[in-house]
Amino acid sequence: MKPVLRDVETLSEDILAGKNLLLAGDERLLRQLPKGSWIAGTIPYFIGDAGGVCTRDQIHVTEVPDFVTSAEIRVYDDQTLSNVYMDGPSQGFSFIVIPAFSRTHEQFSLNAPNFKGFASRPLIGWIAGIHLGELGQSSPKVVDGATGEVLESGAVVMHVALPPSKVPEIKILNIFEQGLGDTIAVLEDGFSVGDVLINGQRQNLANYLIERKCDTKLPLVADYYGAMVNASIQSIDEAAGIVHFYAPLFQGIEYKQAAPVGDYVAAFTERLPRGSERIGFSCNCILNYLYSELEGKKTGHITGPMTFGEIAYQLLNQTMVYLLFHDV
Amino acid sequence: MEIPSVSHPVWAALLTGQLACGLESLPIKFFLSRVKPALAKDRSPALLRQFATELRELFVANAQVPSVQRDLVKALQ
Repeated sequence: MKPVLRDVETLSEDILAGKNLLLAGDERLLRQLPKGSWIAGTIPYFIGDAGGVCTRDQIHVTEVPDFVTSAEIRVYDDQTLSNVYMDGPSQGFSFIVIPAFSRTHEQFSLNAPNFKGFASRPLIGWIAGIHLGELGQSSPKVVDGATGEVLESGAVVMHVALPPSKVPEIKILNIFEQGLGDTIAVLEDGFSVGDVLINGQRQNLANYLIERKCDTKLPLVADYYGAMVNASIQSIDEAAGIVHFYAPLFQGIEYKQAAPVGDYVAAFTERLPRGSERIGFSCNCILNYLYSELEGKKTGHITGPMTFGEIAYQLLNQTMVYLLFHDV
Repeated sequence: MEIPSVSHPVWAALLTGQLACGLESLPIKFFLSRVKPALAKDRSPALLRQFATELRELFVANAQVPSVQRDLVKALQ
């Protein structure tokens, strides 16, 4: 089996051989690749074959299985993004990459659950990022390999059709659970939050988190009928009384801060899928990589880019998402 | 397995949270969570029927997915 992390030369052979590829890597490397049936996002952090690694010399490769019947690349802008679910094949899945900090990122995060056809067709993917030492100096990008176009905004999508014998399913693995603390509800949808309702009482969230010395590595968690959905804390602006998140919080949803997790790797590997289904793609969050110190550590047999946001139908934080293929 | 018509009470029961315990399928959980705030404000028959139609379509679209099949079986028990 080929390694998931490859150099430009080796990867170029696969591209020129006509393989359908989902790529993640440093912008400098992605710009060197030949045109072909691939899409990519920028990031230098991965779980590779040997465990967590930060590298600008290799590209993470997910080969779309040979059994697919077609793979069509499409680029979306802020006007067309709302069609992304309906454009997906009725028998298949769609793979999306969006650059972090872009308007498309914001638009997708806030509005995807209201796009036509939401959740009716599998959409999986991730938010492209950059080396954390370059925050504010360079920007995340996505690449349409068919044209070589490099984008700072918009989304690249590969719509993949499957034969009737294969059924895709998107799953998530989130080691965080709601803690036993207060219930938090926001007054409006958004990434930045001032006053909220805490157990029904209006309070400033920034003051609340600071006064209680809350661990900001622990996300706020919403219970979506048993699926735990995180919103990770980016920063607290104490002077302005604003908490900034990596994903939007939504009105009408009740959040609680996550319960502490002792050993991330142990908790993660305990929950890994053990079925015989084939994992077609997976990615995990850069915050899990950082906070759980995953560099050099393996997370079972799972590999993939470490991202600035994960997409399983909608934007998620601090969560592994993965795609399975069932034989029917 | 045949998916019940949109007038079947199972859809309203799912939408109002009466049958939502133990769901496995991610798209179903996400859909129900999306419509929950709207239904908390307005539980009119018209809105329930609109969401029931969408929910049924979701089950039809994902009818081959094993976890969706199991969710439907559980909901109908």
